[in-house]
Amino acid sequence: MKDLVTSKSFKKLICLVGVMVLLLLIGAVTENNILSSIVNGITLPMSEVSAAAAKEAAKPNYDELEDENKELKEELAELRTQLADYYNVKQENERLWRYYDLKAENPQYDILPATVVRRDPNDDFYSFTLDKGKNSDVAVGDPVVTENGIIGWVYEVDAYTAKVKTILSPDAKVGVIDTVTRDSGVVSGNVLYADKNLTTMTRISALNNLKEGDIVTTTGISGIYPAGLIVGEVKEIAFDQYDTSMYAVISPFEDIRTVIDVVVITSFEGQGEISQSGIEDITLPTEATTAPETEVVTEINEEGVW
Amino acid sequence: MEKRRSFLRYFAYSLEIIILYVIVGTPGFLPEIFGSKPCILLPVALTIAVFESETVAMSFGFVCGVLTDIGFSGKIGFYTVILTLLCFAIGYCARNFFVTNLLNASIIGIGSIALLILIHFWLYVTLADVPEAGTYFVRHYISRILYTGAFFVPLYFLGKLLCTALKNE
Repeated sequence: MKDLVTSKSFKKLICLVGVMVLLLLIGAVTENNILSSIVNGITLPMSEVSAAAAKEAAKPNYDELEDENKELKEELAELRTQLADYYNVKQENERLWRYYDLKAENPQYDILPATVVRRDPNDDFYSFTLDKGKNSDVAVGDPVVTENGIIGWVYEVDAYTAKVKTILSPDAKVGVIDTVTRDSGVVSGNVLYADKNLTTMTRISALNNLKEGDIVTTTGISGIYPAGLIVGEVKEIAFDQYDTSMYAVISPFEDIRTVIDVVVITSFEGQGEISQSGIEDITLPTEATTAPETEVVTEINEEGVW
Repeated sequence: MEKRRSFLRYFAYSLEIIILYVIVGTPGFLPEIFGSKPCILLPVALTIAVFESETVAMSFGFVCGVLTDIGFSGKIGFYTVILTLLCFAIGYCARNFFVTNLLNASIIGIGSIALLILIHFWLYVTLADVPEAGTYFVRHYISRILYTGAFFVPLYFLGKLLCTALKNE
């Protein structure tokens, strides 16, 4: 032990420890670490070379890239499908939110959101085809509405689609009532007004109090349309040029000519129950209900008045 | 001739140290095992120490310690001091008290690696009051000891090769 302590190498160790202590002190006092800078300066080029080599070695080969490319393409296709689904779901969500109020206010309605998939180019009254049919419980006669009011009814239905006639059509006969004056009448389309998105309210009393701006709603008496559905507002009161009877021009709140998203009311309270009170709704798209319409026409032809 | 051989030997050691220092710091070159990388310069310094005199061992211990500290924290500290002292002690013992062979060198070398890393844990984790120290030890330090220790045997043979090839007659 004595030999060790007195040896040259031990003295060198003591010197080195002294150097280390000095370096530690310098490192503690100064921000710049000279030793680290020197070491890193010497080894940096080698580190760069080795890092570049390691990076190059880590690069995938052609087969791996091909596999990765294939996987990414599959993933991209899947994501595209998901994106399309996302947009569909988003649109459906927006559509459902629009009809949420309708359902909330009328919990007895069974409503079915639907989309216009086709418009009949030969029809001047803007009838259209919906993407829902019998498989979705749509039936002939079901009212078709938007959040802005009634726009028509289903007149033909198959398994997957339903055809709708609008209230711009002369075939429409919807019993309505003025919400302000309580004057009643029948809304029916007119060839003079249909292309302007207007319809008419006929069979109004000569002593009516209708005025522009009044809102008319369905009476619901026939059991075909629910009561209280908005039809539109009175735009003007006019006289028929042939028989001088009065009628009101009604402007629906929805542009029926361009509507895309609608709701079919597949069931509601009082559906199919004809009220015993005086006013009748006379629409009737079905075969069973076309007869009264013919009768009315006959009546007009024969007597010249309603 | 003797000086030339010594110079070549020391140059070879230096090259070994620098190359391994660069390799251990190259991203992605050595895989991590349980979140830890080996401290390769520890077995390098220890294998040099078992073949060389205490002065040479001390010098290379100092160099390896400096590089290890710089690799860890950028400043010299724990490993510089302890590796210098340890290499001096091992060099002295190897020359005076035991025969240098694989078994003796492995016991001393791997034991010293374990001791160094455990002292490091005690100083930098336990005393620093790092939370979840036990988990840290199990997940990182044990694997570091084993991973670093695994390099001792191949580096022992490399050191022996350099030493026998370039040792003075």
